[in-house]
Amino acid sequence: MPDSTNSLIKLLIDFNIMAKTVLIVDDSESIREVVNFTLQNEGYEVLVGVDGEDALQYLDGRPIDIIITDLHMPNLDGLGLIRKVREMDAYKHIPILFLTTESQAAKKMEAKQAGATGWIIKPFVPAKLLSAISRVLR
Amino acid sequence: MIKEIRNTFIKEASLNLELIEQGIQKYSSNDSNPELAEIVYRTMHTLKGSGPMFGFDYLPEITQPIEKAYQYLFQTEAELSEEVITKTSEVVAFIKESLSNPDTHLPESWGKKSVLIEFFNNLCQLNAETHD
Repeated sequence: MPDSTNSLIKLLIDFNIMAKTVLIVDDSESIREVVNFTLQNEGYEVLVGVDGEDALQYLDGRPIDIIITDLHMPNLDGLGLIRKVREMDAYKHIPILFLTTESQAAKKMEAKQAGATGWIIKPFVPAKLLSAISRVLR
Repeated sequence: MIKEIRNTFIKEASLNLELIEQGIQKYSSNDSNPELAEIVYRTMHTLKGSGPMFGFDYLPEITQPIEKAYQYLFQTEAELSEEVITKTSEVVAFIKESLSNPDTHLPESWGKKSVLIEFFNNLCQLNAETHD
């Protein structure tokens, strides 16, 4: 890509003009739908995984700005996912937020040690989710 | 759109509650089902977190003590007593009824709610004392 195109893309991203891509991972269909609806309304591009294993298909080098994942999921849970992501060169620094009902301090600590950026407790209000995302992406 | 998502939640929750009912049936007929405690624990955990987002504000109050009690039963692989199974069936029936009448928010069996909550709270306390 020419330098001028790269600069333009960077400018668009910096000024939030270009849509950011969010990968949401949750085994609950209703939660996936409500998060997807909330984010798409705000102009985000959304990718959806039904569990950690399913989410890995999107981590193929494509640009993703943030991952929002549940903790308890079948096949590969949130902690397993985050550990795998942190081993990938392309995504080792990507922000990862947990969106979970779990509120135990020990679990939060475990998630932090695995590389989580933040923690949002369900039930959540859309405004809180959006503000957490924009804070992390700033 | 929000109503559609709420319907998805109701459908999803009902399916999970049916899984519990199936597990209870198997358990009752002496076909041991070690996964039952885990299914109940995970379903109550999910309902606690998701319910209020779809207008079921009272779900955390009833699901939290059951989640906590079953977390212990699941982690210790303890046998489920007949009383626990019976009360679990009542809770499942209660939640199913409330989900099938989403706009009333007050199931006919509402009066049973406090009894069920008390039962599972006592069970949690008993589990904690045993654990200590």
